[in-house]
Amino acid sequence: MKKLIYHYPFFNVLIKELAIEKRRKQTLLVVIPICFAVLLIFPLIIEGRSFVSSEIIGTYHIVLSITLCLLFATRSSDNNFEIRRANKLGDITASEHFLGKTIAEITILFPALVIFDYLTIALTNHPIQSTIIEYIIFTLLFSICICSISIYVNFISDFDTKLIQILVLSTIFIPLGLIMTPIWLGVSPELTSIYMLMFFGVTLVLLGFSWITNIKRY
Amino acid sequence: MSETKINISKLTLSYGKNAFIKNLSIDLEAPSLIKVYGNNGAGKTSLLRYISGIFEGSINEEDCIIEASKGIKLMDNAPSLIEDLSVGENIKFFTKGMLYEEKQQNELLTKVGMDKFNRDIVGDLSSGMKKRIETAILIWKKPSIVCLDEPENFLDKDGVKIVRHIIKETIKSGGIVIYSSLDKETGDFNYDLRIDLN
Repeated sequence: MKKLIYHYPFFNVLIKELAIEKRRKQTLLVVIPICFAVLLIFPLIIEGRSFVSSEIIGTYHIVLSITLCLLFATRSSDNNFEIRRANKLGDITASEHFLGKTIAEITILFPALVIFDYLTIALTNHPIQSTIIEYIIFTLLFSICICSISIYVNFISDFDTKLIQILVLSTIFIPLGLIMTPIWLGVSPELTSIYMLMFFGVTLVLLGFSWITNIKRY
Repeated sequence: MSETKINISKLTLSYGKNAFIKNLSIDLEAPSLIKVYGNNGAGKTSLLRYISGIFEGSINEEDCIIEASKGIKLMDNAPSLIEDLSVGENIKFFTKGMLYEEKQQNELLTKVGMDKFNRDIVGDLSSGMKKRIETAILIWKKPSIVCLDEPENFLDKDGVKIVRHIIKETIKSGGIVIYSSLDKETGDFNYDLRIDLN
């Protein structure tokens, strides 16, 4: 591990971020339980019964995934100045910081989404309509997009209230959630491939945009 | 020729329209000890943050050459440590994994009297203890330029001795120390330059 950190300094940031998450346990003990509660209550509000019909499962999943991602993205505030000051003391460059931070966020969000989807399948009795490989690729791309946007918004903005942050983030997360629908609705393999390719392009654009603007602003 | 030097001319620092440092010029070569003093809001912290490269306000300068072969480190008036991590994890992070083992971390922490607190969370420690951990990191890093922003705040007599040790060691190894303080008394040191920001 020592050699790994020495040769690849972003591992230092990655380990730090994971250690902070391990200590705070926000995603595991706050975000997922809240979404689990919403998962149980949502069908009662929408349909007046503990059952989700197949017509609304796509919408249901999008809304709950976005809720999870919003809670995840706003779980802690990054203080721009404090990050720069700590990195200055630790000789961490901007690119090392953002690479480590992005990988750490994906490492936390991806399993959270998988756990949440597993709970959705178990509680709604609606299995995913795609192969496991497609599901993993879609969820991974979705995690990368969410983390890129979340880090970008946290880093460049000094929003006083979480409400404004949630409003900004939700407008970006909703279209991203829409691209996730094929895994729940079951479209033809050709259409799934087109969606996947489109999602890959969107991910590259968002990751590149977040990366460049963060480093410029740093 | 010395590798460590600070050459700043006609520096103006401001937040918005209010410039608190106007046309300041500094020309220094290592080894040097500088004292920056002034009242609250005179711009001591901002000047030190500018030299360290983390000042966030508006900068207007004619020329700025800062050379430091082993880097510039700032001990800010608020700690730079990560509050959610333990002392040992902080040492591991700030030394880029070079002090990975607890034994190695304790050897460094012994120098600042903090070896018993390796597993404690930094957020739970007092301001003086946090400052001691930061001094331990500075001792390990041995930077060419050290900016100390009112370093004696929160520190007890032993803590002050450690800060003085850093100053002496940096000067001895051919570096520059910039020391900010509220009062203009020189104390135990002979300063090469004194900057009055009042």
